[in-house]
Amino acid sequence: MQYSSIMNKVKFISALVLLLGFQLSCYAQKVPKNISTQEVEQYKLDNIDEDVLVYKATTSFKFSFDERTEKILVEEQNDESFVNLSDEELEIGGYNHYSNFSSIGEVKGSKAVSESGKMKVNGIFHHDMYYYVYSYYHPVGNKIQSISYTKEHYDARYLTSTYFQMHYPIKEKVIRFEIPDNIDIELVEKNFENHEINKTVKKEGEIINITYTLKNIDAFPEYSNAPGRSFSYPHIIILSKEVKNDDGSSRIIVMRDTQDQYNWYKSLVKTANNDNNSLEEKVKQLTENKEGKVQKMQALFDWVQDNINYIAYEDGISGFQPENCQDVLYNRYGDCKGMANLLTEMLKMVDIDARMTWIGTSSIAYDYSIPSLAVDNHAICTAIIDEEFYFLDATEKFIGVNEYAERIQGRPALIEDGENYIIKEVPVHSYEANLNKSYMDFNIDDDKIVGSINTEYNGESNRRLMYAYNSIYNEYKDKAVNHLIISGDNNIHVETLIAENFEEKGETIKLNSQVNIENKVSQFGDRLYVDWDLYKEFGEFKIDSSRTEDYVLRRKVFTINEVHYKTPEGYKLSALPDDYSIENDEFSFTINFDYSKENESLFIRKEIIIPEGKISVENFKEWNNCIEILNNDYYKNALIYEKI
Amino acid sequence: MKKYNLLLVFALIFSGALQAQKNMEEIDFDDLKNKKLVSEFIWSDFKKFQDYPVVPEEFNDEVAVYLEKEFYYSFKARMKSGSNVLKIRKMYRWIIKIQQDQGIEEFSTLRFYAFDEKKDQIGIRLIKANGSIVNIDDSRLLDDEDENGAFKKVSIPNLETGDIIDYYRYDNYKKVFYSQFSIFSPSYEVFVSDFPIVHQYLEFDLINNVYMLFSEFNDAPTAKVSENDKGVDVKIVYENTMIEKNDIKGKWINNLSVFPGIRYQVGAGKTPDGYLNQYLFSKGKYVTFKRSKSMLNELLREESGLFEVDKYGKKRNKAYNKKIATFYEGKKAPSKLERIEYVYNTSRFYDYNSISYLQGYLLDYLQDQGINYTIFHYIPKYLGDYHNILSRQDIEIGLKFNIDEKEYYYSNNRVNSVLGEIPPYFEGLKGYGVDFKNVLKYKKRDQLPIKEVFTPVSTPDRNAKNSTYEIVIDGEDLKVKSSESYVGQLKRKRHYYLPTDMSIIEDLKKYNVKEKDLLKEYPDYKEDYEKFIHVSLLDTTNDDEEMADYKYYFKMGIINNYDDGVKEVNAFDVKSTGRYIESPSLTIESDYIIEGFVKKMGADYLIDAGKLIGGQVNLDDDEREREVAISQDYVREFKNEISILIPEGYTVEGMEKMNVSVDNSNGRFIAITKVEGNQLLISTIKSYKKLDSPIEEWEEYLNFLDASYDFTQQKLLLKKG
Repeated sequence: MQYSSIMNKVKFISALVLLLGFQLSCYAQKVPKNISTQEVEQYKLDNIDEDVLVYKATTSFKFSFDERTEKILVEEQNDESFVNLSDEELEIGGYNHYSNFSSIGEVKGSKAVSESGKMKVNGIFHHDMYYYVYSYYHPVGNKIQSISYTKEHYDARYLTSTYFQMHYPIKEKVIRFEIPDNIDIELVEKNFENHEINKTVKKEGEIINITYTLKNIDAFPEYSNAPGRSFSYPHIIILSKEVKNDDGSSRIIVMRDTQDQYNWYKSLVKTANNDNNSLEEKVKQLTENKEGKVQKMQALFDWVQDNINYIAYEDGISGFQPENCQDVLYNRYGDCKGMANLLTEMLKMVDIDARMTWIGTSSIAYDYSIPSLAVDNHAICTAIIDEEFYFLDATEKFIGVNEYAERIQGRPALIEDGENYIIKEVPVHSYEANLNKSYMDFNIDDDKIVGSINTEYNGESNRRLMYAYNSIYNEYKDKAVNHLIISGDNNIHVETLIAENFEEKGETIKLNSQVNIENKVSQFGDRLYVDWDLYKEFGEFKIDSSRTEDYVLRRKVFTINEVHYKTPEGYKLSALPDDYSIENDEFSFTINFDYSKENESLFIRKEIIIPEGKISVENFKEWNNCIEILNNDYYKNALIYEKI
Repeated sequence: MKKYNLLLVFALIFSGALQAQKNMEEIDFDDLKNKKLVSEFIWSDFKKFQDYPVVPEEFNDEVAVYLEKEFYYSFKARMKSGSNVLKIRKMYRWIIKIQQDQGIEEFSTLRFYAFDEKKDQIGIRLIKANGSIVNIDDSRLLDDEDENGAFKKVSIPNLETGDIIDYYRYDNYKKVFYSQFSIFSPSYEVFVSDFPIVHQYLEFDLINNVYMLFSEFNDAPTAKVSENDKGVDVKIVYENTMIEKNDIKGKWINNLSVFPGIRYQVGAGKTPDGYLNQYLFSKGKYVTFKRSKSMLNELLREESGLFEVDKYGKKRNKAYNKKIATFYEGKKAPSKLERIEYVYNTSRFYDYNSISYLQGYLLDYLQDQGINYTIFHYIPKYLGDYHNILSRQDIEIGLKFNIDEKEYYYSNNRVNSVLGEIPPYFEGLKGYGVDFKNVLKYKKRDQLPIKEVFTPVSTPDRNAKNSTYEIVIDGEDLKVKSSESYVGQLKRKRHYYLPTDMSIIEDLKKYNVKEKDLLKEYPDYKEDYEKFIHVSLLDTTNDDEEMADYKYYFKMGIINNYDDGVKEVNAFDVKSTGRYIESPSLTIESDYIIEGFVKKMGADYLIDAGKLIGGQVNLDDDEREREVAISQDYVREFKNEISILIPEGYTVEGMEKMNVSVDNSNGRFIAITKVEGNQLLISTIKSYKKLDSPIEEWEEYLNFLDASYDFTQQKLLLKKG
């Protein structure tokens, strides 16, 4: 390179830095260095449980096209200013993350320091996700301090969305987009309905500036068992579609529509370089005694579930590209894409119409009407036999060909179809498929309860139990099964126990036990008080009424407990408790007490249904009332027998 | 570079490796950086599936079996002027056979601490049941990190039942030391694992001025020692075979007294003899297996001279006497105990490292007061007896003195301890000591008389929690006014969470004669102390981390006691911090509401009265079948005095089962439940009486543990009319 051209470059970069610096200082000028004490006091009142308020946060996305890599680049500039609401000096900070497709520069301002490292992501064996945390010390008082940092996105395809919220409350959040008019970027506004978000669009020369502003935003809550954030929090999905030539024709296509998204996925499958020959022997061995396509499909599906260990790799492009089928077969491990790819190729070898399929699990609010990588996070195989679609998720354990895990039920699947694609929803199982039924036949013998407990597990709980049982070392299996009966109550002693079908896929698991139970019968004078309900389902399950997100159980609940108490000789039931029933669109509890004079027995039937496996915020109050009634009027209420 | 026969040493580990040994003799040590050479060598013993040992029949039903578990250590000292170097080569090699599917899950991912890829190596290969051998390529090793540091991890491909995983890790590093002789931290290895082991092998090679201390415990195999073996000064080998897996679980187990194993410590330097006493090496030997009584006595005699008060100590004593005189001005003259307590309490923050503390403050002042004392060495309980100690680092130092015929002990006490309280992990131990009067008398140290010292054993009531609860029934809630007092070791645990500022202010308050001095030192002392003593759990503004922990810990102490039944606890008062001789109990009072323990049945009340004594040990079936002796850190006692106001017009039914008495040599649970006037009185006492009990006495434990748990399950009926 010539000296002069180097100098020109240096001058250009210096100018750019000055320009950026100017822009930064422009933003900074809008934030005062101090605010009045009264204002701070007001913020404290408005954010009573918070130590920090983000006075203003601005995230700016500047799009450009890189001629060298032919990718759309995005420079993300983050400017954040904070107020200390506590009465002592605080370490204030935030976090972001980056991967092989992005990087984050040094944090600037307020003597802030940053640190980065590999993120700990449960369930993923190897990934390229790194955390970036930054912090500084903020004194007590009415001072506002600011920091800024830049994140570079090397390929806009992987920048999928941006949220207004942070982990502190925010007084004002601004999200800006600076888009050259030759780059087609679509911004999809999500969950804006209940928020006063101001949007302005300005065209300056060849640049379109879009600015969103939202004021007074609560911090992101951190709840367990919450639905995905995309369901309720306002955010913008960023669709990077294409780069155009001056004449308006496409120069570089990124992801204009679902077809483009499918094409890209398909190209990644193609470059996986599958070599089916390596599968031949195994496929032949697994299907040789099987008749018909369904039996063969079942055999291959079972084998992949049982023999390929799920190990997730999300490192760069391997987060999207399936590993080839021969390597997955050889390694005996793979991620969802690799397992789906292997199963697809195996099925094809026995002339089953099998297709790679992409799907977003129930934690994602979107469907394939949005062409974005944010739409899906999982891969399965779809087999089509006699026009019937079988959605085969080989990462599940002990699941049959017509059974679907809760997380993919009802979700749209993007199914391979040559040059085109098919979108089809995975069937939804009714809650009835998850029936967990117990029948208890008890006698009261002096101060003990003796009798039998017979329990059946179906659906999701069946599969979970089967997986747990088969993961436990043989010597601990009996003890583990015993624990299902005891359920943490050491007053329950299991005398005998017969367990059926723990290894039979698709069959109901049955436990038949004889038990004696201590400390549930108390004698006071001529009366026996019997603590009648052994398991008190959901008795501890009150939901924090201040919670602002739905509670997701991740399984539909259908529980039936039938308890039969034989009246002890020489006694009579003092009073028959009242029946109880509550029905709501999201849950129902029913308890019936029935006394048979003829059999001198009390029959209690308890039925609990949570048909969608979810309690919505608007139903928390009713749910908690219901739990309170269950506890106070039923679970803690003893049956009383009087001496005749 | 000097030729070095390390791989020859490796060769001796593995029988049948003659060919490799021959090749290796020609190789310089640095060539070991060539991974291929190392792996060829290490894997030269078992070349094919058939070479590997067969799993003995008795281990056939196990999920996985270690066919070999080998450890190898080589220590070589290089003495230079200025800095000395200990070169350490360490290798472990495990050969595991997978016998059941669950073993695939267990071993399919291997994780290693990160290493220096230039010097250190990992080798993994898979021996398939069909006889093929698959080397797991380095490219499969992935970087990983978590809060514990950086790692390498690998997923073993194509792992199936019947396969053997054969892998090693080889590390090569240095430790630099500047003294003529240096001793490194002790380590230990046990001859047991979560899976059975067919053959376990440990080898230590000492080269050039390297010395080792060993102790063997619980029937560990005896070492085989060979000297001057082909470039190695001393080789020490431990070997064991057919080791059952460890399935000992349960409470109150001292691992060092259960599993066979060894402890060891390495020393290096040119002139160990000069350090013999300090480090307990045998004179003229590279390896020392057992410490003799005479070695320990010699060490004690040597150290005893360190405690003589020096000119600085004398100056400090003088200053203390002046301060004490000021403090007691206008009051009655302080007793010796009060003088000693003054010094103890005002210096307990400065330094609680035992030896320097003993030298610095208390010991000097005892000398000033003409109080004779005994300095003694003792072995912490977890190490058992003298046979298990290695060097001086294992030995604790204690102090015993008498004032007014009462014995006082001091050792590794902490900042909130009271003079004379038995230090933690100090009970029932044997030690050897010297009287200070003799230190002054016998100028020839070797003539200094040594005597046996036995540390005291508490009675359960010295480590106790004494609680009183006044309870009123309010609908289906219980309103509780509680007072809980802790002494001894149970107090120590609670003291841990007292805010440091609270203790500092308390001492300043007690020992500052003039308030203006105190205000100068701590202007906000009144407000600050108040917030520590009367603690609001509702107001969390201005709480720093220490204060938040303090509140959380005490609140959770109450909540956990009742199995989450506590509905509301808003404040607690610290009535006494238990930091002074005159008020040795930590006493906390609080009001709270318990829900879920009362059920209104018509006009009657059904009360979970047994639960009011708090949660009790509830053993599951596995724990009831015990195989090892019981070891407690200290004896202890829990007393409850509960009074429940009986609503007018009610009588109490069901008290029979709440009158219990189980009392044996290991423990007791006694409960008395009665009605006096309008009060229902429940009084319980539970004691753990013994520090150590043989397994035969486990039944006695079961008796009093079951009695206390069964008590918690009992209900009472308050019947109307």
